[in-house]
Amino acid sequence: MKPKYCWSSATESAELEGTWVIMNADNGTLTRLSGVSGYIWSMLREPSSVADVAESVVSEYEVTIDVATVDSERLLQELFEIGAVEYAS
Amino acid sequence: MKRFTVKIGDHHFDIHTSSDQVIDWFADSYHMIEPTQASKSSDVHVQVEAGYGTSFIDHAYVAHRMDERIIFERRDYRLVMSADCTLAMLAVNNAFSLRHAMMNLYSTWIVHANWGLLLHASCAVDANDNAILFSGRSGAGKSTAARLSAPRTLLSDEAAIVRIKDGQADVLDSPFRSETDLSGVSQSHPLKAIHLLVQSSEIRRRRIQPAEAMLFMMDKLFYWSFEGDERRNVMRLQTALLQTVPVYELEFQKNSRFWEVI
Repeated sequence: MKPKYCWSSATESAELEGTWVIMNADNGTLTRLSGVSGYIWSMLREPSSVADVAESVVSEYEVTIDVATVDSERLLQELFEIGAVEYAS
Repeated sequence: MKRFTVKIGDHHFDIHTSSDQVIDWFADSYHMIEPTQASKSSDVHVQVEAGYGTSFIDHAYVAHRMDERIIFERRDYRLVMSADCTLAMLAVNNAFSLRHAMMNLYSTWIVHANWGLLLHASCAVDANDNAILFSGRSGAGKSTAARLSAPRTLLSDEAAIVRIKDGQADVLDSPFRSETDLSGVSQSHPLKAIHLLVQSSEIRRRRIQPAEAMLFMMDKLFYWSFEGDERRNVMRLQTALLQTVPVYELEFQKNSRFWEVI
């Protein structure tokens, strides 16, 4: 079964005029996401797999499923590494 | 033991002390309220004593929590707060230490109460009775902008008290000052704009997107947080502020012409 990701319990985030600001409340670091990245972040409010995210991106943006999958996987990995997302239980 | 009340922002601080020196320090900088004029019970009770530690050396501090108390120690003061921030014991070295310690206590209290933020900014009142904030990096010109704003009323020259409530932000007279005295105005003023100052040969301003502004503004807070829940409160208050008030980068020269573009 493919893992699903969601917002980490350590994060607090806010959308300001279409751009997301994400704070890791444990260490205070801030991350800004806009455009497709912001769209993906908003999706992760609910548990989503890479495939879920990529399919949703394809439905919203003019991009192939292959490109959307690679880009979504890369973003999710980066967000996972900074503690912004976690595996959904 | 003597007892008196000072008003900071909307809040009443009940001060207990055995030191005449402490009373003089408060009388010099704060709005003191006679017990008969107190319109409400105090929000925070503070016991203050002088004679602690050494005079200010640096900003190095230790903050920790012990037995449900928040303890903040610097070489020139020691502040112990109850977890709900309504009771505090404060030992200070001098008037400078007292000012910083009271800023620390007040900032912690207003964030805990989800009431507002203490911003590193000067603030003047414009012709329409709106508050205009000037912030920026150390040395950017906050104090200069305050001086050049005369004869406008100054609500702060260093630390601005911003109330954030019901989709509105207002600025109140701040006693936390470095060069000027409390203005004495009792009413709050709607916050119309925040300016991040940049000294320049030009005079112009450009709007900064709120998400970008949040990255700039986070280190313009007087706040010494060390726990996640407090950081969350700060971020929620910042978000509410930036959803309400526009932030601009203001290039300015050292003269009052910057008011022409505000």
